[in-house]
Amino acid sequence: MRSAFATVLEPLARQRGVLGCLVAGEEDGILVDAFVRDAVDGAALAALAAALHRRARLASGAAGLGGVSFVRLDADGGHLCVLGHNELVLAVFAQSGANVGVIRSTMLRSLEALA
Amino acid sequence: MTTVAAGWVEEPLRPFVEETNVLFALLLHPSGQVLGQHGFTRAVDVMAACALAAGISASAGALGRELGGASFGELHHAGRDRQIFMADIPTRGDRYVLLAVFDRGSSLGLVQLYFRQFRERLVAAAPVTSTPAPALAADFEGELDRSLAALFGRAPRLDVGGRPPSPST
Amino acid sequence: MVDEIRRLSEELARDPSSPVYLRLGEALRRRADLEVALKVAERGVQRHAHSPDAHDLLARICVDRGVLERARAAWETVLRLMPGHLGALKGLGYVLFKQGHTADAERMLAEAASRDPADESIATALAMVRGGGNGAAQAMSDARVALTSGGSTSATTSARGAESTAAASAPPGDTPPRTARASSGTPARAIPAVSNGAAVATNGAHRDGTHAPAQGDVAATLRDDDMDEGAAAEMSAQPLAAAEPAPGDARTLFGDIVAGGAHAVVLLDADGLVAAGHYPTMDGRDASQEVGVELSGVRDEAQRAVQLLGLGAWHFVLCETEEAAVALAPAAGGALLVTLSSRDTPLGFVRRLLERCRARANDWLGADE
Repeated sequence: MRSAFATVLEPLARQRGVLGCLVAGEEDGILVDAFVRDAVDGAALAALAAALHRRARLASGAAGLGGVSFVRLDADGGHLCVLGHNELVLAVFAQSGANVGVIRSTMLRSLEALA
Repeated sequence: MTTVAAGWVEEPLRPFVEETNVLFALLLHPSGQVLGQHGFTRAVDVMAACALAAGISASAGALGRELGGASFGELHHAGRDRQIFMADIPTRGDRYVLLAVFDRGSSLGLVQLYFRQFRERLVAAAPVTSTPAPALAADFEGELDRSLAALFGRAPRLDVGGRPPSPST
Repeated sequence: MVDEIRRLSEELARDPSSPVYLRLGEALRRRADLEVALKVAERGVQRHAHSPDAHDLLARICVDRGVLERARAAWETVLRLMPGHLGALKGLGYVLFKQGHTADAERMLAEAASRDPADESIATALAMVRGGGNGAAQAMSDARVALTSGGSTSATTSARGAESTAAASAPPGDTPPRTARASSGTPARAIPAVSNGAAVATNGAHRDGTHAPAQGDVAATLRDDDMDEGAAAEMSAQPLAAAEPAPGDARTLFGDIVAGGAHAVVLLDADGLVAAGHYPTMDGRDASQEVGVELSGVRDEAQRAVQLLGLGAWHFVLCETEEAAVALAPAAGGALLVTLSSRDTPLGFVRRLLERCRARANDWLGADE
C-alpha cells in the first residue's frame, strides 16, 4: 500500500473493527487502491460501495435533496461507510461493534486527499 | 426479455442480466451458435452482434497469444453512453463467449462482479464435450442460423449440448 | 374523457403488463389528474424500465407538476435509451431553459429542429431562446404545452407504440386550463420542508387508527395486479385529495413521533407506493410519492451489498445529503420506511427516530394485515 492514497487508507485501516478500506471509481466501481483483510473481496467491495454511493447520490438529487456527503449501511454482520469526492469513493467495511462515529470522522478528514 | 436456445444456459444467464441491469447480453459459442440472449428483439441484430463478437473473440485471442502467450480473458470498451464487456468462459472441454452491453444503470465493477458468479454457474452447468471447436467454425453461418431459429421461436430448442435436436427426437 | 379513462383502467386491470398505461397516463395528464397520472407513469416505469415511452410520459407529467429536475432526469433517460428522441429533445430544451441553462437548451432545440424542421413549435422556441430578453421566459412558458405535450414525438421514434401515437394525436385544445396556468408559474422543486431547519411537525399530530381514503390509495388500487376490473376506473376518476392531511389520515401515522421536530416520515409498501406518512415541500405539496420512489432505489443497493458481502439482514441506510439526513429501513411485509430530518439533526437522534417510526410502522402494518 504505497500509492497516493496510502495516507488516506492507513489511518482508517488502523481503526478498531475495520476489515477493509478502499478507494474506487464511483462511476465504474473499479478498485483504485485498498487495504483489505484476507477474507474480504476488495473488488466486490469496491463495486458494491460505489454502486451504493452512486444510487444514493442520484436518488438524492432526483428527490431535490442535493448532493450526498456520507452514506452508511448498517447490517447484522457489520457496517459499510462510503464517502464520495471527485468521482471517487472512499469506503470502509467494518465489523459490528466498530466505532462508526470515529470512522466517519476519520473519513471526513480524508476528504481533501481524494483529489 | 431473456431467451435461451439451450436450457442449461437459463439458470446462469437470467440472474446475471437481472442483477447487472445490462441492456443486452449474448452468450455464444465460437462456432456461431447463440445459446442465449437478453434485450434483443430482432434476429438480425443478434446475427450481427454474434458475428462481430465471434470475430473480436478470435482476434483478441490471437493478439493475446502473440503478445503475451495467452488470450485475453476479458475485454472492456467504454463508449460515450454505453459500454461493452466481453469475456471468454472456458468450460470442461469447450469455450463460450459472453457479450454484455450496459449504460449508467450499471457499472463495469458490477458487471465484473456478477460475471464471476455467472462464469461459475455456467461452468457447473455446461455439458462436457470431448472435442474443442475451432475459433471460427467453417459452418459458422449455418450454426448461427440454426440457433437464431431456436431463439426466436422458429425451431425447437437445441439439445443439452447446444446442438439442434436430431430428426428422431 | 372519463369513459376513456374508465375503459383504459379496465384494460390495464385485466393486463397490468399492457402498454395501455401510456394512454391512461396521458389521458389523466390531459385531464389534469396529475397525481394519479404520476402514479400510473411511475408504475409504467417500474414495469417497463427500458421503454423510452414510459420515461417520456413520466417527464411530461413532471413538467406539468412543476418538478423540472425530475422531468429532466426522465428525459435524459429517454435519450440514453433512444438517442435523438424528438420529444425528449424538445422537453429538455424547455426544462433547461427554465432552469437557466440557455446554451444547453439551445443545443437541444437545435438538434430537435434539425430532426424535424417542419415543427413550428421547435422553431419558435429556438428563436425565443436565441433572442433572449425579458420576454423569452414568458414566451417559453407559453410554448411549454407545444414542446412538452409529446405531440410530434411518435412520428420520429419507430419503437413507440400505437398507444402513445393515439395519445399524442389528441387535439391541443384538450389540455385543460389548469395545466396551462400551472405552466406559466414558477416551477416548484421538491424542496423538503425539513430543509430549512424550522421546527414544523410535518406529519400532523393526530392518529386515531382510522384510515381515510387518500390519493395514494387510488394508485395503490391501480397497481394491484389482481384488482377488481372496475375498481381502477372508479377510483381513477375520483377528484384529487386535499394536500393537507386530515385527522385519521394514514399520512398522520407518525405525527406524534415527529411532533415539534423538522422531520418527515414516509412509509412505502412493497410496490414502492406510499402507504402512510407525509412529505410536504416548501410550497405545500405532498411529495411523498416522488421522493419515496427516488429513494427506494437505495434499498436495492443495500440488499445487494449485504447479500454479496454476506452481512445478513440490513438494518438501515443513513444518507447525509445537502438538504437533509435521510434514513431508510426495511419494515414488515417488504415495506420501506424513509425518514427525512433537517441537516442539523444529530445523527444519533435520526437513528432513534427511525427505530421508533419503524416500530410504529410494523405495528400498523401488522394490524393492517
